[in-house]
Amino acid sequence: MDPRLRGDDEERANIPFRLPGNPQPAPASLCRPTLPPPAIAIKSSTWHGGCKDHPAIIRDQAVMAENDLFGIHGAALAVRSQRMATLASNIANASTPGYKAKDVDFAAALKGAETGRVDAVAANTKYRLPTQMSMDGNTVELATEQTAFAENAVAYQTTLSFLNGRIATITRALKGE
Amino acid sequence: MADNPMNIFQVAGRAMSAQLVRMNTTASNLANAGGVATTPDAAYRSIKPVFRTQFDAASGMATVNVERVVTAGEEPTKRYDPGNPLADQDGNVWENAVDETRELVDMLESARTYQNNVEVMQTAKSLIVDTLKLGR
Repeated sequence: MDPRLRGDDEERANIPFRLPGNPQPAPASLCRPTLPPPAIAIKSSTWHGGCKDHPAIIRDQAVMAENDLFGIHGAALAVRSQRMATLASNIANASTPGYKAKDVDFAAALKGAETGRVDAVAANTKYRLPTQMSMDGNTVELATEQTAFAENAVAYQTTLSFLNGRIATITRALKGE
Repeated sequence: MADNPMNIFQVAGRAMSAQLVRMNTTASNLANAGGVATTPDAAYRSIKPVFRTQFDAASGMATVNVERVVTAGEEPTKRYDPGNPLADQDGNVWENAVDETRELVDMLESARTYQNNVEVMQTAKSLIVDTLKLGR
């Protein structure tokens, strides 16, 4: 078994991503504008007038409410979903000459998403280092992609069941059963 | 298509149509294997699709398009066959240059890639359905 596919997410995060020999640069259109991280410590007593309606404050409140209820799992589900899209793109381009496979560094992306960065996944998407280069410059290795896709799908379902557990707990508490 | 952000079904779906074009060219090539013509220009040449990655800036996804279909492969081979009704005045016919082995391998690979995309679509569908059932 490939040692890179074992271990938990933390171990996987330590695998160095390196650019392959002749990388094709990602198109400039892929880069998203970086938004400043949301300000966190805003006391309600310091608010005045229209400040409450400021989009940054509304967003902070939404982020905090979500974190109280779902913890890390809400952000994890979003990152898993975006990683699934990246892996699906790799599989779709399995026979396109010159295509360079990409993958999301899950642990780093989740850490970024937790701090409220909107470009957390895009910033932590790296090119995959192929075990063997192909003659047409394509770095998609189907076995790797399929394994990663399956693993990601299982992790997505795990996150879903964590969320379901939280919702069931809250529902039970509300009903007072 | 460029107006809306791409989703996983479009990525897999368009990859499937690209593989289907590839499968069609393979079928055309195999159907014409062994055919002959009077002149080299009239002889059949194998056709191949050219795949090209299409990036979607909004979602960061990439799907695949068939840019064009080109003729590729070897030149038709001359064979002396005076009994053939298509033979020219020197008694030669030009045989279509279709590498059957290569075409069959291509067909297998394209079928596998198609299956992979179907699998991606099924997995994505079941995960989305599970997400919709969240909290029930």
